[in-house]
Parts: sequence; structure tokens; C-alpha cells
Amino acid sequence: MTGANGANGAGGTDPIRASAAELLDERDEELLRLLRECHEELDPMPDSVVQRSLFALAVEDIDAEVLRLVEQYRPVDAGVRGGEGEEARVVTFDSDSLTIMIRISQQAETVRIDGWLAPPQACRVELRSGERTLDAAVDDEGRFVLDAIPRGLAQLVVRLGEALGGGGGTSILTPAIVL
Amino acid sequence: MPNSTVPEPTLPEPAAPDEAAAVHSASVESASVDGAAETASADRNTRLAALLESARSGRRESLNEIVIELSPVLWQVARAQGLDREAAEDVIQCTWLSLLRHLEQIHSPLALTAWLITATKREAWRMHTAHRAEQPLDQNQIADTADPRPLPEELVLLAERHHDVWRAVRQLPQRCQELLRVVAFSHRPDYDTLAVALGMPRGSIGPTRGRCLAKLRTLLDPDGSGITGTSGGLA
Repeated sequence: MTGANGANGAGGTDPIRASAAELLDERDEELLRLLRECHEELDPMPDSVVQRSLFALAVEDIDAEVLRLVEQYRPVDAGVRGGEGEEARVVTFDSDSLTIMIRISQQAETVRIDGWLAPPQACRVELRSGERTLDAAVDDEGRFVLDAIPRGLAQLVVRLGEALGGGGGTSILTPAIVL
Repeated sequence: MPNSTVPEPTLPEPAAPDEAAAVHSASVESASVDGAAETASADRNTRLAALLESARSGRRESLNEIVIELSPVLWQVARAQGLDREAAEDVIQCTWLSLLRHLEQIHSPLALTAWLITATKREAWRMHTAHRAEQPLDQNQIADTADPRPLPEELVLLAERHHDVWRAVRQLPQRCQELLRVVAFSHRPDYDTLAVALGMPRGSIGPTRGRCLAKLRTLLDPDGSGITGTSGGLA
């Protein structure tokens, strides 16, 4: 296909016009629509994609580095109501400048995070959860603990070069995860 | 099979296509073939442009609307790259977060879509390679190999009227399947930019899309009732 049919009416040599001539006809549109429906049916985007993205984007730091989730270890049955204590899930995030590993353990009604960041440095971490923002100091060895975290979506924000309660400094964000 | 995951180790910072792209889109619209769809597409483009403008000035509500609008395309991009559902979700979220930093430099809906797709692809690719290193032989391998036949369970899920199309699509080369999958979730004026973001040479986009569609039509209608010039050798 892809002929010049259609280009002739619109000033043939111009590459933009020529490209315009390759616009789809109705049959193509129909095929693409059917194809879209196929994919939607076979592989629908879960609502959580948008939910989690919107949650994560509600962060205030615009100029932050983004940590990506690189590894996740889940206990065999990651059921929400499983036995306590044993249910630790370990998640590792990574960016060009920082790695964070967190161990998530379920408690009665809440969740506890034991975290470690590398390279180790004293700074501050915040945890945005639905209702409130918790924060904790990171010690010289890169360790931190966040406790009594409500279940649900949460996002970590690391503020480098910042002591607890201070301001300024670079921020690094994780995507939102479900605790 | 070497599909588009050929090493693109330094896929550039999703480069924002320039003014030319915007001009292009305008011309494409004015040279429209069928009015209604074109108008809808133009309306959408205008809406997206307004949202972008507003998001860039700091309105998070507008950014949220953009997320709702464009996430489905990114889902298809991530999945077409062979990511599992969970990984696709993580990648898309990271793409949106990264956008916060770059919003300032993105001036048109075209540039926005291209940036997002490129970022998603790059992350998907990175995740892919990380996975490969861990598990030398896994489903990634399978995802790269086109299976010419639809899986029975796919057909069960699909409505009758989709069966022919799906059977035909599954016979296309992997690259065509990927391209058409993304294109099907995009909108017309974005095509060229999209294809650039898909890692194809700018000049080959239209023709490739055309060839993929032509091939698809031939498969669906071998006798070529009225369709001409569709014999074309597909790569």
C-alpha cells in the first residue's frame, strides 16, 4: 500500500503531505479498533496502575531522583492475614546514586519497615502513607526503622543531607507499593 | 529473536521531539481523509495540549488527568516488551515519577507521548536485562518468539467478532505485532512520533505501519477484494 494515492491532491513532494497521504483509511481504523479491543480483553490494564501512579505523583518533590523497584522477595503465601512475624517481605530499590533495601513485616494492625540504604549516610526518610506521613532518621550506617505504619499504599522519600526535621537537600523517591 | 530489545544501552534521555513534530501533526490533521475520526483525534490532541500546559504550570489535577489518559498506552508498551503484569505496573509508575523532573522541557502532546513511551521502553528494557542475568532461560525467551498461532485460551476470551483479526495478527512478524499493538492504543497524529519512540527510523515508520496493516488485511482477505498493492514483502 502506502502509495502516493492521496498525495497528489495535496502537493506531492512535501514529505509532510506525503506522510499525511499515508493516513489510515476506515478499514485500517476498524482493524486497529478491533485489535485494541482484543488487547483490552486479553490483557486489560489493572486499575491499580493508575491508582498507584496517582498516589506516587502526589508527592511534593518535583525535582527528585526516582528509585526503581529491582527485586522483591515475598514469603510463599503473601496473604494479608497470615501468621505474624514470619511474614517478612523484602524489597530492593535502586537508582543511579542510591540503593535501599527494606524488610516489611506485618504486625497486628500495622506494618513495620526495617530499612537500610547504601552508600550509608545519615539523612532522613519519610514514608507517605494514605493518612499521614511518618519520618525517621537514618543513622551513619544507613539504617532506619519505621513503625506502626498503616496498611495500604505507601511511598518512601529519602532526603539526603538532611537531619531529622531539617529542610533542603536532594530527594529520592520510590514508587508506591502496597504494604 | 532480536526484536527491538537490541542493545540500546544509552537510549537517549527521552528526547523531546521538536517543533517539526508539532507542525507535522497540524498538517496531518488538515490533510485529513475521513473527517470525524480526525476531528475527534484533533480534539483529543487539543485537550491534551491544554492539560500539559496546565500541568507544567504546576496543577497536579491536570497531571492526574494526563496519567489517566495515557497510562493505557504505556501499559501496552510495557507488556509488548514482554514484562509481566507486576513489572509493567512498576515500570509505568516510575515513568510517571520521572516525568515530574522533565515536565519543564516538554512542550507538546506529541513530545509528551514520545517521552513517556521512550522512558517506559527504556525501563522495560533495563528490567528485562536484569532479569535475564538472573534467570538465563525464562519466559523472556518465549516472549521474544512469535508464535504464529493464537493460543486456544486467547480465543476463548475473545468475542467471536475478534477471532479473525486476532488469528491474523498472531501470524504477523513480532515487530509488526508490537508496532500495531502500540499504534492501536495511540492516536493518529502521534503515529510518527510514536514510531520514533519505538526505535524505528523516522522515515520508515509510516511505511512500516502501512506494511503491517496491509499484511494484516491480506491475511484477513486473501482474495484482496479491491485492495491493491498489498503483496509487499514484509520484513
